[in-house]
Amino acid sequence: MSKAALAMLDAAATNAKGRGSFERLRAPALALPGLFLALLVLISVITPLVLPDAPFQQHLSEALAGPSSAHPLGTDELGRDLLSRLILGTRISFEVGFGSTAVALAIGGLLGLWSGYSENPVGAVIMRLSDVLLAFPSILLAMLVVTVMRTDLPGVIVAVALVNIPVFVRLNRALMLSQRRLEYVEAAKALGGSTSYVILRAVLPNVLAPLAVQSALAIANAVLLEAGLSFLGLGVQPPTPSLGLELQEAAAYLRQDAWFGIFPGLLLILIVLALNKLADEGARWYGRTDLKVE
Amino acid sequence: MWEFVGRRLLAAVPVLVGASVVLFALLYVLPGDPAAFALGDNASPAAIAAFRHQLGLDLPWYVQYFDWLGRMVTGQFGKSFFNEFPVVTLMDERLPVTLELTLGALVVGTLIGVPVGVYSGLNPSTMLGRAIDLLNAVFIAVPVFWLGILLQLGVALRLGWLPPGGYVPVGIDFGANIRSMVLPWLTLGVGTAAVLARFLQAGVRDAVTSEYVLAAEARGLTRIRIVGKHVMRNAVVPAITAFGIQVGRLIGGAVLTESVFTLPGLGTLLWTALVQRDYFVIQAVTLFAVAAFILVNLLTDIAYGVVDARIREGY
Repeated sequence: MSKAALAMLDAAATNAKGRGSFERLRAPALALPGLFLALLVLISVITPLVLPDAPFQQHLSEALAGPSSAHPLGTDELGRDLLSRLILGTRISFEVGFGSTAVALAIGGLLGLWSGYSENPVGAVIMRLSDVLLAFPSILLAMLVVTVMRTDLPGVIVAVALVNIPVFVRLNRALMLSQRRLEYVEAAKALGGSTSYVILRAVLPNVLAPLAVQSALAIANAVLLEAGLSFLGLGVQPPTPSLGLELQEAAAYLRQDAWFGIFPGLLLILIVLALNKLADEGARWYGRTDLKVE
Repeated sequence: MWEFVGRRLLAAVPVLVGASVVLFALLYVLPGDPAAFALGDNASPAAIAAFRHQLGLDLPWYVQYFDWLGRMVTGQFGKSFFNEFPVVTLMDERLPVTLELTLGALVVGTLIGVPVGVYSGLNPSTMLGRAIDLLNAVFIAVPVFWLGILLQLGVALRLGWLPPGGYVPVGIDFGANIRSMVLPWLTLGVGTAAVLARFLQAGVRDAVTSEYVLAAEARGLTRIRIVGKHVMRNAVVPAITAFGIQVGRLIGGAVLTESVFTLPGLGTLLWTALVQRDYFVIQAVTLFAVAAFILVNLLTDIAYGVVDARIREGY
């Protein structure tokens, strides 16, 4: 990532104005993508519990059949119901998206806030290390890490988290630098607050808005990365469905069944669009419109 | 100016060295003995030990690292475990494909992104301006490989206008080469166009409402002159940033695009090497990609400094 891009990330943090005012929050603009995502999460969590076998039952005689009343989105090359596979695939996307972002937020967030607050030289080392990780194109780093870790769900989550950690480190350090000279932080220190108190109880609640925005972007990014890894065969392994893996399989059968290649991608882009919209609206809420830095 | 360039150049060296350490460390802990992979399941332990010794894999890690770094700097990338070809030869064969893909995508992205961004920045509330906003959001979110699949589906299989995949070298048939690259260029370039347009649009919108543009209008300057000289000069600064960010996306996207269109580029080389645990190939291709990424970011920063004197002096 270029110095200029990093400077933008830092500037986004510096300009963050705490919690912002609710009047500027455009409720419908947030509600629509929010509801859509909530619904998807609900469906993708509940359906596999109710119909655990549906994504795996093969009916070879019905392979690559387009949409029908029995299979609303058609079937894959082994005659498995595409709708139920996509629902389970969506769950994998969310598991990677939320899981990796939670890990990146926790590790990157704490390291960033701490290195912005303490004068410890270890903080500088952490920053240089983040710069090094940011020098890798993200899918390349994820491909390497997932190969090292093993290509399965936990491996993918770690790999994707590692891509997002340096972004959170930088953002959080910049957020801390923008806050540390403010009176409430000085007051917390003067009252004898320990480092962890100042970081977690005083500063953290005041920087939640920019963190939420960056998290939405990180989840979107993670969903795309997981799909990319799975498309390359380096993500979750068959027979577990993933939106990327479905597309990889579909790519071989485009002549026979075009729908197979269309539905998984449609779902993927809707998820990413909704997350990006949430981030955009959230950023507008607290007065930033250009936080988008990958 | 030169001092600024020198400072940025110096700052890139530790990042590159750091990246080499990370890369080496990752491969050092890579599960699966590369020797066992290379020799197959039936290799005797003695043969594996001999192979490891021959490659220096039995030496302490720090000796291996400095050995490796020395070889990378002097361009000795070793041989592929699988086909015994020197890694340099493999990369040499595939580099032109990836370069043609990424540079072409960059051109496509610029040709579409610049006019679209400027237009929608100047006319934000027209129908077309709003449509562009929507399309931008879609093309920023679209996964590269899905776009590739859709183009294959529509343009290649349904309409039959272009081949759905494969690569024809320029030297063999120029026309066929271009035909085989149009869909990959579009696939990789459209996302770049969307991001570029978005940054330009924001820059133009900021600039047209600024006081210096008002002043230029008051002085009676023509619209073309105002946009060409006053607006663009300021709007282009954030767009350069977008450009730098895009290069990382292009390098990553190239891996996926090459996979969709079965192009024999560096991306597919790296992918095969990862699946086969082909050590030296992974090391060389990744380090090359990281070095290229750092270099382009360096050029972006310098371009940034050239356009905006405040940045040059501020660092």
